[in-house]
Amino acid sequence: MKEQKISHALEECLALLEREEATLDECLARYPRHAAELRPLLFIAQETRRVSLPSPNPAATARWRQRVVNTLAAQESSHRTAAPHSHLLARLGVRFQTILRQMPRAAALAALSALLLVVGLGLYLLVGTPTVRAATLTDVQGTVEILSAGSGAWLPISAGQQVMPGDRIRVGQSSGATLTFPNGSTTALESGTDMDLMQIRPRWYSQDGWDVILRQRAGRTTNCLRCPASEAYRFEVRTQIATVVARSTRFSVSITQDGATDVAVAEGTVAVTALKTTLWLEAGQMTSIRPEKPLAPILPIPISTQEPTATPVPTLEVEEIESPEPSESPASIEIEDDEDDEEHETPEPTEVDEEDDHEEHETPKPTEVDEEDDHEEHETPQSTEVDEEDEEHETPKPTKTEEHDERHAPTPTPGSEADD
Amino acid sequence: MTSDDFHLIERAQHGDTDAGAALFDRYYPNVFRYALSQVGDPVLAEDIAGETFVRMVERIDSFTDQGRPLLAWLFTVARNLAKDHYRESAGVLEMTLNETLIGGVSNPERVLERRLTQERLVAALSQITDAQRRVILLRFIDGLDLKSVARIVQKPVTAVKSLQHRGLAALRRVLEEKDS
Repeated sequence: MKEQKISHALEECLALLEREEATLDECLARYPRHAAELRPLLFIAQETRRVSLPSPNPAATARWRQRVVNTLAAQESSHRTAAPHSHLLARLGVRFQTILRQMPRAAALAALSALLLVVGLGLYLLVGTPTVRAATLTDVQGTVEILSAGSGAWLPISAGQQVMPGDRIRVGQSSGATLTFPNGSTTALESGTDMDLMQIRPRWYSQDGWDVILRQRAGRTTNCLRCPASEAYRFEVRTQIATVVARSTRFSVSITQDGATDVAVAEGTVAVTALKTTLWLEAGQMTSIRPEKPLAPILPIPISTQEPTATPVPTLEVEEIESPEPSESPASIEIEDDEDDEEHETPEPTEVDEEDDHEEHETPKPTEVDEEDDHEEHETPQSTEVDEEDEEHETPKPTKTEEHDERHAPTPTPGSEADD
Repeated sequence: MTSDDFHLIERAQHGDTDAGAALFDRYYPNVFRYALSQVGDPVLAEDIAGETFVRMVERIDSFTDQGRPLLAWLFTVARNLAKDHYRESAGVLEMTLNETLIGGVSNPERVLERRLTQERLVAALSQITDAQRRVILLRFIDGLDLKSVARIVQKPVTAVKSLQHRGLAALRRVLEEKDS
Protein backbone atom coordinates (compact mmCIF):
# COMPACT_ATOMS: atom_id res chain seq x y z
CA MET A 1 0.00 0.00 0.00
CA LYS A 2 2.82 2.32 0.91
CA GLU A 3 4.58 1.52 -2.33
CA GLN A 4 1.47 2.33 -4.28
CA LYS A 5 1.26 5.69 -2.60
CA ILE A 6 4.88 6.40 -3.44
CA SER A 7 4.38 5.25 -7.03
CA HIS A 8 1.43 7.60 -7.29
CA ALA A 9 3.30 10.49 -5.68
CA LEU A 10 6.27 9.84 -7.95
CA GLU A 11 4.13 10.05 -11.07
CA GLU A 12 2.46 13.22 -9.81
CA CYS A 13 5.83 14.83 -9.24
CA LEU A 14 7.20 13.62 -12.57
CA ALA A 15 4.23 15.13 -14.37
CA LEU A 16 4.63 18.42 -12.53
CA LEU A 17 8.31 18.56 -13.31
CA GLU A 18 7.72 17.64 -16.92
CA ARG A 19 5.21 20.44 -17.32
CA GLU A 20 7.54 22.73 -15.38
CA GLU A 21 4.73 23.54 -12.99
CA ALA A 22 6.86 22.96 -9.92
CA THR A 23 10.45 22.63 -8.85
CA LEU A 24 11.76 19.46 -7.32
CA ASP A 25 11.57 20.93 -3.81
CA GLU A 26 8.03 22.15 -4.37
CA CYS A 27 7.04 18.68 -5.49
CA LEU A 28 8.61 17.11 -2.45
CA ALA A 29 6.87 19.61 -0.18
CA ARG A 30 3.57 18.15 -1.34
CA TYR A 31 4.60 14.72 -0.09
CA PRO A 32 6.63 15.34 3.05
CA ARG A 33 6.23 11.79 4.35
CA HIS A 34 7.75 10.31 1.19
CA ALA A 35 10.15 13.09 0.34
CA ALA A 36 13.26 11.18 1.35
CA GLU A 37 12.39 8.30 -0.87
CA LEU A 38 11.11 10.40 -3.75
CA ARG A 39 14.08 12.74 -4.02
CA PRO A 40 16.64 10.27 -5.45
CA LEU A 41 14.06 8.76 -7.77
CA LEU A 42 13.11 12.13 -9.18
CA PHE A 43 16.77 12.99 -9.54
CA ILE A 44 17.45 9.81 -11.52
CA ALA A 45 14.38 10.45 -13.66
CA GLN A 46 15.47 13.99 -14.45
CA GLU A 47 19.00 12.88 -15.23
CA THR A 48 17.71 10.11 -17.48
CA ARG A 49 15.60 12.63 -19.38
CA ARG A 50 18.59 14.93 -19.68
CA VAL A 51 21.13 12.33 -20.78
CA SER A 52 19.13 10.43 -23.34
CA LEU A 53 20.82 7.70 -25.36
CA PRO A 54 22.96 7.78 -28.47
CA SER A 55 21.38 7.57 -31.89
CA PRO A 56 22.23 4.83 -34.32
CA ASN A 57 24.94 5.44 -36.85
CA PRO A 58 23.29 6.94 -39.98
CA ALA A 59 25.29 4.81 -42.40
CA ALA A 60 24.39 1.61 -40.59
CA THR A 61 20.77 2.72 -40.37
CA ALA A 62 20.69 3.30 -44.12
CA ARG A 63 22.18 -0.11 -44.82
CA TRP A 64 19.72 -1.90 -42.56
CA ARG A 65 16.85 0.05 -44.07
CA GLN A 66 17.91 -1.09 -47.51
CA ARG A 67 18.18 -4.63 -46.32
CA VAL A 68 14.65 -4.52 -44.93
CA VAL A 69 13.37 -3.16 -48.23
CA ASN A 70 15.28 -5.82 -50.18
CA THR A 71 13.96 -8.58 -47.95
CA LEU A 72 10.41 -7.39 -48.44
CA ALA A 73 10.87 -7.16 -52.19
CA ALA A 74 12.44 -10.61 -52.36
CA GLN A 75 9.63 -12.02 -50.27
CA GLU A 76 7.01 -10.55 -52.54
CA SER A 77 8.84 -11.92 -55.54
CA SER A 78 9.09 -15.39 -54.04
CA HIS A 79 5.37 -15.33 -53.21
CA ARG A 80 4.56 -14.78 -56.83
CA THR A 81 6.75 -17.61 -58.04
CA ALA A 82 5.98 -19.99 -55.17
CA ALA A 83 2.23 -19.84 -55.42
CA PRO A 84 1.81 -22.53 -58.11
CA HIS A 85 4.23 -24.82 -56.30
CA SER A 86 2.43 -24.45 -53.03
CA HIS A 87 -0.79 -25.56 -54.69
CA LEU A 88 1.01 -28.57 -56.09
CA LEU A 89 2.53 -29.40 -52.70
CA ALA A 90 -0.85 -29.07 -51.04
CA ARG A 91 -2.36 -31.47 -53.53
CA LEU A 92 0.51 -33.93 -53.03
CA GLY A 93 -0.01 -33.69 -49.28
CA VAL A 94 -3.69 -34.57 -49.60
CA ARG A 95 -2.84 -37.45 -51.89
CA PHE A 96 -0.24 -38.76 -49.45
CA GLN A 97 -2.70 -38.58 -46.56
CA THR A 98 -5.22 -40.54 -48.57
CA ILE A 99 -2.68 -43.23 -49.35
CA LEU A 100 -1.70 -43.47 -45.69
CA ARG A 101 -5.30 -43.89 -44.63
CA GLN A 102 -5.77 -46.75 -47.07
CA MET A 103 -2.61 -48.59 -45.97
CA PRO A 104 -2.37 -51.04 -43.05
CA ARG A 105 -1.04 -49.40 -39.88
CA ALA A 106 2.36 -51.17 -39.96
CA ALA A 107 2.90 -50.33 -43.58
CA ALA A 108 1.93 -46.74 -42.95
CA LEU A 109 4.45 -46.49 -40.13
CA ALA A 110 7.15 -48.00 -42.31
CA ALA A 111 6.32 -45.55 -45.10
CA LEU A 112 6.44 -42.63 -42.70
CA SER A 113 9.78 -43.79 -41.27
CA ALA A 114 11.24 -44.08 -44.74
CA LEU A 115 9.97 -40.65 -45.62
CA LEU A 116 11.44 -39.12 -42.46
CA LEU A 117 14.77 -40.81 -43.19
CA VAL A 118 14.87 -39.40 -46.69
CA VAL A 119 13.86 -35.93 -45.50
CA GLY A 120 16.40 -36.03 -42.67
CA LEU A 121 19.18 -37.10 -45.02
CA GLY A 122 18.22 -34.34 -47.42
CA LEU A 123 18.24 -31.74 -44.66
CA TYR A 124 21.61 -32.96 -43.44
CA LEU A 125 23.07 -32.67 -46.90
CA LEU A 126 21.46 -29.28 -47.35
CA VAL A 127 22.32 -27.55 -44.12
CA GLY A 128 24.28 -30.01 -42.04
CA THR A 129 27.57 -29.70 -43.83
CA PRO A 130 30.18 -28.92 -41.22
CA THR A 131 31.14 -25.27 -41.27
CA VAL A 132 34.79 -24.40 -41.51
CA ARG A 133 35.58 -22.19 -38.55
CA ALA A 134 39.20 -21.50 -39.26
CA ALA A 135 41.34 -18.95 -41.02
CA THR A 136 44.07 -19.87 -43.43
CA LEU A 137 47.52 -18.39 -43.32
CA THR A 138 48.82 -17.11 -46.65
CA ASP A 139 51.58 -14.87 -47.94
CA VAL A 140 53.96 -16.04 -45.28
CA GLN A 141 57.31 -14.29 -45.38
CA GLY A 142 60.13 -14.80 -42.89
CA THR A 143 59.42 -16.12 -39.42
CA VAL A 144 55.83 -16.75 -38.44
CA GLU A 145 54.97 -18.95 -35.47
CA ILE A 146 51.82 -20.37 -33.95
CA LEU A 147 50.96 -21.24 -30.38
CA SER A 148 48.06 -23.59 -30.81
CA ALA A 149 45.28 -23.62 -28.25
CA GLY A 150 46.24 -26.01 -25.49
CA SER A 151 49.81 -26.22 -26.65
CA GLY A 152 52.77 -24.87 -24.72
CA ALA A 153 55.21 -24.48 -27.56
CA TRP A 154 55.59 -22.02 -30.40
CA LEU A 155 55.94 -23.79 -33.72
CA PRO A 156 56.72 -22.44 -37.18
CA ILE A 157 53.67 -22.15 -39.42
CA SER A 158 53.72 -22.08 -43.17
CA ALA A 159 51.40 -20.87 -45.89
CA GLY A 160 48.23 -22.88 -46.30
CA GLN A 161 47.98 -23.98 -42.67
CA GLN A 162 44.81 -23.35 -40.76
CA VAL A 163 44.55 -21.12 -37.72
CA MET A 164 41.80 -22.10 -35.32
CA PRO A 165 40.00 -20.07 -32.67
CA GLY A 166 42.22 -20.01 -29.59
CA ASP A 167 45.44 -20.04 -31.61
CA ARG A 168 47.99 -17.30 -31.23
CA ILE A 169 50.23 -16.06 -34.03
CA ARG A 170 53.37 -14.02 -33.84
CA VAL A 171 55.35 -12.57 -36.70
CA GLY A 172 59.10 -12.04 -36.48
CA GLN A 173 61.03 -8.99 -37.57
CA SER A 174 61.11 -8.33 -41.30
CA SER A 175 58.41 -10.94 -41.68
CA GLY A 176 54.74 -10.93 -42.56
CA ALA A 177 51.71 -13.07 -43.26
CA THR A 178 48.04 -12.81 -44.10
CA LEU A 179 45.12 -14.51 -42.42
CA THR A 180 42.30 -15.29 -44.81
CA PHE A 181 38.85 -15.89 -43.33
CA PRO A 182 36.11 -18.13 -44.75
CA ASN A 183 34.37 -15.32 -46.62
CA GLY A 184 37.57 -14.00 -48.12
CA SER A 185 38.23 -11.20 -45.67
CA THR A 186 41.87 -10.82 -44.78
CA THR A 187 44.05 -9.59 -41.97
CA ALA A 188 47.59 -8.73 -42.93
CA LEU A 189 50.03 -9.23 -40.09
CA GLU A 190 53.10 -7.07 -40.26
CA SER A 191 56.44 -7.64 -38.62
CA GLY A 192 56.31 -7.72 -34.85
CA THR A 193 52.61 -8.54 -34.74
CA ASP A 194 51.38 -10.80 -31.98
CA MET A 195 47.69 -11.71 -31.98
CA ASP A 196 45.13 -14.31 -30.98
CA LEU A 197 42.28 -15.54 -33.10
CA MET A 198 39.60 -15.51 -30.41
CA GLN A 199 36.44 -16.25 -32.30
CA ILE A 200 35.40 -17.18 -35.75
CA ARG A 201 31.88 -18.42 -36.13
CA PRO A 202 28.82 -18.00 -38.29
CA ARG A 203 26.76 -14.95 -37.47
CA TRP A 204 24.35 -15.80 -34.74
CA TYR A 205 21.28 -15.09 -36.76
CA SER A 206 22.46 -15.88 -40.21
CA GLN A 207 24.40 -18.40 -42.22
CA ASP A 208 25.70 -15.90 -44.71
CA GLY A 209 27.95 -14.03 -42.36
CA TRP A 210 30.63 -14.46 -39.78
CA ASP A 211 31.76 -13.01 -36.51
CA VAL A 212 35.50 -12.69 -36.19
CA ILE A 213 37.23 -11.50 -33.04
CA LEU A 214 40.97 -10.93 -32.88
CA ARG A 215 42.99 -9.87 -29.90
CA GLN A 216 45.98 -7.87 -31.03
CA ARG A 217 48.80 -7.83 -28.53
CA ALA A 218 51.44 -6.03 -30.56
CA GLY A 219 52.36 -4.87 -34.03
CA ARG A 220 50.14 -3.76 -36.86
CA THR A 221 47.30 -5.43 -38.71
CA THR A 222 45.51 -4.26 -41.81
CA ASN A 223 42.06 -5.71 -42.04
CA CYS A 224 40.22 -5.94 -45.30
CA LEU A 225 36.63 -7.00 -44.88
CA ARG A 226 34.48 -8.31 -47.65
CA CYS A 227 30.82 -7.93 -47.00
CA PRO A 228 29.00 -5.91 -49.63
CA ALA A 229 25.41 -5.01 -48.86
CA SER A 230 25.19 -7.50 -46.03
CA GLU A 231 25.23 -6.56 -42.41
CA ALA A 232 25.74 -10.14 -41.40
CA TYR A 233 29.36 -9.70 -40.54
CA ARG A 234 31.12 -8.39 -37.50
CA PHE A 235 34.84 -8.04 -37.39
CA GLU A 236 36.32 -7.03 -34.10
CA VAL A 237 39.90 -6.29 -33.16
CA ARG A 238 40.61 -5.90 -29.47
CA THR A 239 43.73 -4.42 -28.03
CA GLN A 240 44.50 -4.02 -24.39
CA ILE A 241 42.94 -0.58 -24.32
CA ALA A 242 40.45 -0.43 -27.17
CA THR A 243 37.97 -2.40 -29.22
CA VAL A 244 37.57 -1.76 -32.93
CA VAL A 245 34.45 -3.07 -34.65
CA ALA A 246 33.92 -2.92 -38.36
CA ARG A 247 32.32 -4.46 -41.36
CA SER A 248 32.67 -3.96 -45.05
CA THR A 249 35.71 -1.82 -44.67
CA ARG A 250 39.47 -1.65 -44.68
CA PHE A 251 41.26 -0.43 -41.62
CA SER A 252 44.48 -0.88 -39.74
CA VAL A 253 45.22 -1.27 -36.05
CA SER A 254 48.71 -0.53 -34.75
CA ILE A 255 50.02 -0.92 -31.24
CA THR A 256 52.87 1.47 -30.68
CA GLN A 257 55.89 1.13 -28.45
CA ASP A 258 54.26 3.19 -25.71
CA GLY A 259 51.17 0.99 -25.68
CA ALA A 260 48.92 3.27 -27.68
CA THR A 261 46.45 1.85 -30.19
CA ASP A 262 46.31 3.68 -33.52
CA VAL A 263 43.32 3.01 -35.74
CA ALA A 264 43.11 4.25 -39.32
CA VAL A 265 40.30 3.68 -41.78
CA ALA A 266 40.94 3.42 -45.50
CA GLU A 267 37.40 2.51 -46.53
CA GLY A 268 34.03 2.23 -44.81
CA THR A 269 33.35 2.93 -41.17
CA VAL A 270 34.60 1.48 -37.90
CA ALA A 271 33.55 1.98 -34.30
CA VAL A 272 36.34 2.43 -31.78
CA THR A 273 35.49 1.95 -28.13
CA ALA A 274 37.79 2.77 -25.24
CA LEU A 275 37.10 3.72 -21.66
CA LYS A 276 33.36 3.42 -22.09
CA THR A 277 33.19 5.76 -25.06
CA THR A 278 32.63 4.94 -28.70
CA LEU A 279 33.51 7.05 -31.69
CA TRP A 280 33.02 6.39 -35.36
CA LEU A 281 35.82 6.71 -37.85
CA GLU A 282 35.06 7.20 -41.51
CA ALA A 283 37.31 6.56 -44.48
CA GLY A 284 40.37 8.79 -44.37
CA GLN A 285 40.22 9.26 -40.61
CA MET A 286 42.35 7.95 -37.79
CA THR A 287 42.69 8.20 -34.05
CA SER A 288 45.23 7.26 -31.45
CA ILE A 289 44.12 5.86 -28.11
CA ARG A 290 46.49 6.20 -25.17
CA PRO A 291 46.33 3.94 -22.14
CA GLU A 292 44.03 5.31 -19.46
CA LYS A 293 43.23 8.34 -21.59
CA PRO A 294 39.89 9.26 -23.11
CA LEU A 295 39.45 8.79 -26.83
CA ALA A 296 41.59 11.22 -28.77
CA PRO A 297 40.09 13.47 -31.43
CA ILE A 298 39.53 12.11 -34.88
CA LEU A 299 42.30 13.13 -37.25
CA PRO A 300 42.59 12.97 -41.01
CA ILE A 301 45.04 10.40 -42.27
CA PRO A 302 48.00 12.18 -43.89
CA ILE A 303 47.25 12.44 -47.59
CA SER A 304 50.71 11.26 -48.54
CA THR A 305 49.99 7.75 -47.30
CA GLN A 306 46.26 7.39 -46.57
CA GLU A 307 47.45 4.77 -44.11
CA PRO A 308 48.85 5.56 -40.68
CA THR A 309 52.14 3.95 -41.41
CA ALA A 310 53.42 3.70 -44.90
CA THR A 311 53.60 -0.04 -45.17
CA PRO A 312 51.49 -1.01 -48.12
CA VAL A 313 50.09 -4.48 -47.98
CA PRO A 314 50.00 -5.95 -51.43
CA THR A 315 47.09 -8.27 -50.76
CA LEU A 316 44.69 -5.50 -49.88
CA GLU A 317 43.29 -4.36 -53.16
CA VAL A 318 40.07 -2.45 -53.27
CA GLU A 319 38.75 -4.89 -55.84
CA GLU A 320 38.81 -7.59 -53.25
CA ILE A 321 36.37 -5.70 -51.09
CA GLU A 322 33.94 -5.25 -53.87
CA SER A 323 34.01 -8.77 -55.20
CA PRO A 324 30.85 -10.83 -54.95
CA GLU A 325 29.89 -12.06 -51.56
CA PRO A 326 27.75 -14.86 -50.23
CA SER A 327 24.22 -14.13 -51.18
CA GLU A 328 21.97 -12.66 -48.61
CA SER A 329 18.79 -14.42 -49.38
CA PRO A 330 16.07 -14.06 -46.80
CA ALA A 331 15.65 -17.77 -46.81
CA SER A 332 19.11 -18.31 -45.47
CA ILE A 333 18.78 -15.93 -42.59
CA GLU A 334 16.89 -18.16 -40.26
CA ILE A 335 18.36 -21.52 -40.93
CA GLU A 336 20.83 -21.66 -38.11
CA ASP A 337 18.55 -20.84 -35.26
CA ASP A 338 15.34 -21.40 -37.00
CA GLU A 339 13.90 -23.53 -34.30
CA ASP A 340 14.65 -21.05 -31.60
CA ASP A 341 13.36 -18.17 -33.54
CA GLU A 342 10.16 -19.79 -34.39
CA GLU A 343 9.65 -20.22 -30.75
CA HIS A 344 10.58 -16.67 -30.07
CA GLU A 345 8.56 -14.79 -32.46
CA THR A 346 5.40 -16.62 -33.03
CA PRO A 347 3.84 -17.18 -29.70
CA GLU A 348 0.66 -18.76 -28.81
CA PRO A 349 -2.28 -16.44 -28.86
CA THR A 350 -2.39 -16.28 -25.12
CA GLU A 351 1.10 -14.84 -25.10
CA VAL A 352 2.85 -15.46 -21.94
CA ASP A 353 6.10 -13.72 -22.53
CA GLU A 354 7.99 -12.23 -19.68
CA GLU A 355 5.41 -9.58 -19.24
CA ASP A 356 2.47 -11.69 -19.90
CA ASP A 357 3.44 -14.08 -17.25
CA HIS A 358 1.97 -11.66 -14.90
CA GLU A 359 -0.63 -10.31 -17.08
CA GLU A 360 -2.33 -13.35 -15.84
CA HIS A 361 -1.97 -11.75 -12.47
CA GLU A 362 -3.31 -8.50 -13.67
CA THR A 363 -6.59 -8.27 -11.97
CA PRO A 364 -8.39 -5.05 -11.44
CA LYS A 365 -7.65 -5.32 -7.75
CA PRO A 366 -5.32 -2.48 -6.96
CA THR A 367 -3.47 -4.46 -4.37
CA GLU A 368 -2.20 -6.82 -7.01
CA VAL A 369 -0.51 -4.24 -9.11
CA ASP A 370 2.75 -4.59 -7.30
CA GLU A 371 2.68 -8.30 -7.54
CA GLU A 372 2.60 -7.98 -11.24
CA ASP A 373 6.06 -6.68 -11.29
CA ASP A 374 7.06 -9.29 -8.85
CA HIS A 375 5.96 -11.95 -11.22
CA GLU A 376 7.71 -10.53 -14.15
CA GLU A 377 10.50 -12.49 -15.58
CA HIS A 378 11.48 -14.97 -13.01
CA GLU A 379 14.53 -15.32 -15.04
CA THR A 380 17.75 -15.46 -13.23
CA PRO A 381 18.73 -14.69 -9.75
CA GLN A 382 21.11 -11.89 -10.41
CA SER A 383 23.48 -10.31 -8.05
CA THR A 384 22.58 -6.80 -9.01
CA GLU A 385 18.90 -7.44 -8.64
CA VAL A 386 18.74 -8.74 -5.16
CA ASP A 387 15.96 -6.55 -4.06
CA GLU A 388 13.32 -8.74 -2.64
CA GLU A 389 10.67 -6.73 -4.31
CA ASP A 390 12.15 -7.12 -7.70
CA GLU A 391 12.00 -10.56 -9.02
CA GLU A 392 12.95 -9.79 -12.58
CA HIS A 393 16.49 -10.93 -12.35
CA GLU A 394 17.23 -10.69 -15.96
CA THR A 395 20.59 -9.79 -17.32
CA PRO A 396 21.83 -10.10 -20.85
CA LYS A 397 24.65 -12.32 -19.75
CA PRO A 398 24.99 -15.55 -21.65
CA THR A 399 24.70 -17.74 -18.65
CA LYS A 400 21.48 -16.13 -17.68
CA THR A 401 19.44 -16.84 -20.76
CA GLU A 402 16.34 -18.81 -20.15
CA GLU A 403 15.05 -21.26 -22.64
CA HIS A 404 11.52 -21.10 -21.43
CA ASP A 405 11.32 -17.43 -21.93
CA GLU A 406 12.29 -17.69 -25.54
CA ARG A 407 9.02 -19.30 -26.33
CA HIS A 408 6.94 -16.45 -25.18
CA ALA A 409 7.67 -13.64 -27.50
CA PRO A 410 4.59 -12.04 -28.84
CA THR A 411 3.42 -11.34 -32.28
CA PRO A 412 1.58 -8.16 -32.88
CA THR A 413 -1.50 -10.18 -33.36
CA PRO A 414 -2.32 -11.90 -30.15
CA GLY A 415 -5.11 -14.25 -30.51
CA SER A 416 -4.82 -15.18 -34.09
CA GLU A 417 -1.38 -15.95 -35.32
CA ALA A 418 -0.37 -19.50 -35.44
CA ASP A 419 3.21 -20.41 -35.01
CA ASP A 420 5.16 -20.43 -38.12
CA MET B 1 -1.11 -1.48 -33.06
CA THR B 2 -2.21 1.91 -34.29
CA SER B 3 -4.42 2.01 -37.33
CA ASP B 4 -1.66 3.80 -39.14
CA ASP B 5 0.80 1.04 -38.30
CA PHE B 6 -1.62 -1.57 -39.48
CA HIS B 7 -2.28 0.32 -42.67
CA LEU B 8 1.45 0.28 -43.37
CA ILE B 9 1.61 -3.42 -42.53
CA GLU B 10 -1.22 -4.16 -44.92
CA ARG B 11 0.58 -2.28 -47.65
CA ALA B 12 3.79 -4.13 -46.86
CA GLN B 13 1.90 -7.40 -47.03
CA HIS B 14 1.08 -6.52 -50.61
CA GLY B 15 4.73 -5.95 -51.37
CA ASP B 16 4.84 -2.18 -50.91
CA THR B 17 8.47 -1.63 -49.97
CA ASP B 18 7.83 2.03 -49.13
CA ALA B 19 5.51 0.88 -46.37
CA GLY B 20 8.17 -1.44 -44.98
CA ALA B 21 10.66 1.40 -45.08
CA ALA B 22 8.18 3.69 -43.33
CA LEU B 23 7.77 1.21 -40.48
CA PHE B 24 11.54 0.95 -40.25
CA ASP B 25 11.91 4.73 -40.12
CA ARG B 26 9.22 5.02 -37.48
CA TYR B 27 10.52 2.48 -35.03
CA TYR B 28 14.18 1.72 -35.76
CA PRO B 29 15.48 4.40 -33.34
CA ASN B 30 13.27 3.05 -30.54
CA VAL B 31 14.38 -0.51 -31.15
CA PHE B 32 18.01 0.57 -31.39
CA ARG B 33 17.84 2.36 -28.04
CA TYR B 34 16.09 -0.59 -26.48
CA ALA B 35 18.75 -2.99 -27.82
CA LEU B 36 21.51 -0.64 -26.72
CA SER B 37 20.09 -0.52 -23.23
CA GLN B 38 20.24 -4.28 -23.18
CA VAL B 39 23.64 -4.99 -24.65
CA GLY B 40 25.53 -1.74 -24.16
CA ASP B 41 27.36 -2.07 -27.48
CA PRO B 42 26.19 0.37 -30.17
CA VAL B 43 27.37 -1.74 -33.10
CA LEU B 44 25.72 -4.84 -31.73
CA ALA B 45 22.60 -2.82 -30.96
CA GLU B 46 22.43 -1.71 -34.59
CA ASP B 47 22.65 -5.31 -35.71
CA ILE B 48 19.98 -6.44 -33.31
CA ALA B 49 17.66 -3.59 -34.23
CA GLY B 50 18.23 -4.12 -37.95
CA GLU B 51 17.71 -7.85 -37.75
CA THR B 52 14.52 -7.26 -35.79
CA PHE B 53 13.08 -5.44 -38.78
CA VAL B 54 14.27 -8.11 -41.19
CA ARG B 55 12.34 -10.60 -39.07
CA MET B 56 9.37 -8.30 -39.10
CA VAL B 57 9.16 -8.23 -42.89
CA GLU B 58 9.81 -11.95 -43.08
CA ARG B 59 6.79 -12.51 -40.85
CA ILE B 60 4.74 -9.72 -42.32
CA ASP B 61 2.18 -12.04 -43.90
CA SER B 62 1.08 -13.40 -40.54
CA PHE B 63 0.35 -9.99 -39.03
CA THR B 64 -3.24 -9.18 -38.22
CA ASP B 65 -4.53 -6.27 -36.25
CA GLN B 66 -5.60 -7.33 -32.80
CA GLY B 67 -4.63 -4.20 -30.98
CA ARG B 68 -1.20 -5.14 -29.72
CA PRO B 69 1.28 -2.36 -30.47
CA LEU B 70 3.86 -3.18 -33.07
CA LEU B 71 6.59 -1.69 -30.91
CA ALA B 72 5.89 -4.22 -28.17
CA TRP B 73 6.42 -7.03 -30.65
CA LEU B 74 9.60 -5.43 -31.99
CA PHE B 75 10.99 -5.03 -28.48
CA THR B 76 10.43 -8.67 -27.73
CA VAL B 77 12.06 -9.84 -30.95
CA ALA B 78 15.03 -7.58 -30.22
CA ARG B 79 15.27 -8.95 -26.74
CA ASN B 80 15.29 -12.53 -27.97
CA LEU B 81 17.91 -11.72 -30.58
CA ALA B 82 20.11 -10.25 -27.88
CA LYS B 83 19.65 -13.38 -25.82
CA ASP B 84 20.53 -15.54 -28.82
CA HIS B 85 23.61 -13.50 -29.35
CA TYR B 86 24.84 -13.89 -25.81
CA ARG B 87 24.05 -17.55 -25.83
CA GLU B 88 26.00 -18.00 -29.05
CA SER B 89 28.93 -15.90 -28.00
CA ALA B 90 29.33 -17.94 -24.81
CA GLY B 91 30.82 -15.17 -22.81
CA VAL B 92 33.22 -13.74 -25.33
CA LEU B 93 31.19 -10.64 -25.92
CA GLU B 94 30.34 -10.31 -22.32
CA MET B 95 33.93 -9.22 -21.96
CA THR B 96 33.29 -6.43 -24.42
CA LEU B 97 30.40 -5.25 -22.35
CA ASN B 98 32.39 -5.35 -19.18
CA GLU B 99 35.42 -3.73 -20.68
CA THR B 100 33.64 -1.00 -22.51
CA LEU B 101 30.84 -0.10 -20.24
CA ILE B 102 31.22 -1.45 -16.78
CA GLY B 103 34.74 -0.42 -16.07
CA GLY B 104 35.81 0.44 -12.58
CA VAL B 105 35.13 3.87 -11.24
CA SER B 106 38.37 5.48 -10.21
CA ASN B 107 36.84 8.25 -8.18
CA PRO B 108 33.92 6.85 -6.30
CA GLU B 109 31.41 9.39 -5.18
CA ARG B 110 27.85 9.09 -4.22
CA VAL B 111 25.63 8.69 -7.22
CA LEU B 112 23.50 11.68 -6.42
CA GLU B 113 26.53 13.90 -6.42
CA ARG B 114 27.59 12.83 -9.87
CA ARG B 115 26.13 13.77 -13.17
CA LEU B 116 24.74 10.84 -15.02
CA THR B 117 26.60 10.22 -18.26
CA GLN B 118 25.37 8.45 -21.32
CA GLU B 119 27.72 5.56 -20.69
CA ARG B 120 26.70 5.14 -17.08
CA LEU B 121 23.06 5.24 -18.03
CA VAL B 122 23.48 2.59 -20.73
CA ALA B 123 25.40 0.37 -18.37
CA ALA B 124 22.83 0.77 -15.63
CA LEU B 125 19.90 0.15 -17.96
CA SER B 126 21.43 -3.15 -18.99
CA GLN B 127 21.26 -4.27 -15.38
CA ILE B 128 17.60 -3.70 -14.64
CA THR B 129 14.74 -5.95 -15.60
CA ASP B 130 13.35 -5.92 -19.07
CA ALA B 131 9.90 -4.70 -18.10
CA GLN B 132 11.41 -1.87 -16.07
CA ARG B 133 13.78 -1.04 -18.92
CA ARG B 134 10.94 -0.76 -21.40
CA VAL B 135 9.04 1.58 -19.15
CA ILE B 136 12.07 3.74 -18.37
CA LEU B 137 13.01 3.99 -22.05
CA LEU B 138 9.54 4.83 -23.25
CA ARG B 139 8.80 7.23 -20.41
CA PHE B 140 12.06 9.12 -20.00
CA ILE B 141 14.06 8.56 -23.19
CA ASP B 142 11.24 8.56 -25.71
CA GLY B 143 9.25 11.02 -23.60
CA LEU B 144 5.89 9.26 -23.76
CA ASP B 145 3.20 9.90 -21.20
CA LEU B 146 2.05 7.21 -18.82
CA LYS B 147 -1.01 6.20 -20.82
CA SER B 148 0.98 5.79 -24.01
CA VAL B 149 3.55 3.68 -22.21
CA ALA B 150 0.77 1.56 -20.73
CA ARG B 151 -0.68 0.98 -24.18
CA ILE B 152 2.66 -0.13 -25.60
CA VAL B 153 3.63 -2.40 -22.75
CA GLN B 154 0.07 -3.71 -22.53
CA LYS B 155 -0.37 -3.09 -18.85
CA PRO B 156 -2.69 -1.03 -16.70
CA VAL B 157 -1.54 2.47 -15.87
CA THR B 158 -1.22 1.52 -12.22
CA ALA B 159 1.13 -1.31 -13.14
CA VAL B 160 3.23 1.04 -15.24
CA LYS B 161 3.44 3.45 -12.32
CA SER B 162 4.75 0.63 -10.22
CA LEU B 163 7.25 -0.43 -12.89
CA GLN B 164 8.36 3.16 -13.24
CA HIS B 165 8.90 3.41 -9.50
CA ARG B 166 10.77 0.14 -9.28
CA GLY B 167 12.75 0.86 -12.42
CA LEU B 168 14.02 4.17 -11.11
CA ALA B 169 14.81 2.58 -7.77
CA ALA B 170 16.70 -0.22 -9.53
CA LEU B 171 18.64 2.29 -11.63
CA ARG B 172 19.60 4.16 -8.51
CA ARG B 173 20.68 0.96 -6.82
CA VAL B 174 22.79 -0.16 -9.79
CA LEU B 175 24.45 3.23 -10.10
CA GLU B 176 25.23 3.29 -6.41
CA GLU B 177 26.68 -0.20 -6.52
CA LYS B 178 28.91 0.71 -9.42
CA ASP B 179 30.12 3.81 -7.68
CA SER B 180 30.78 2.23 -4.35
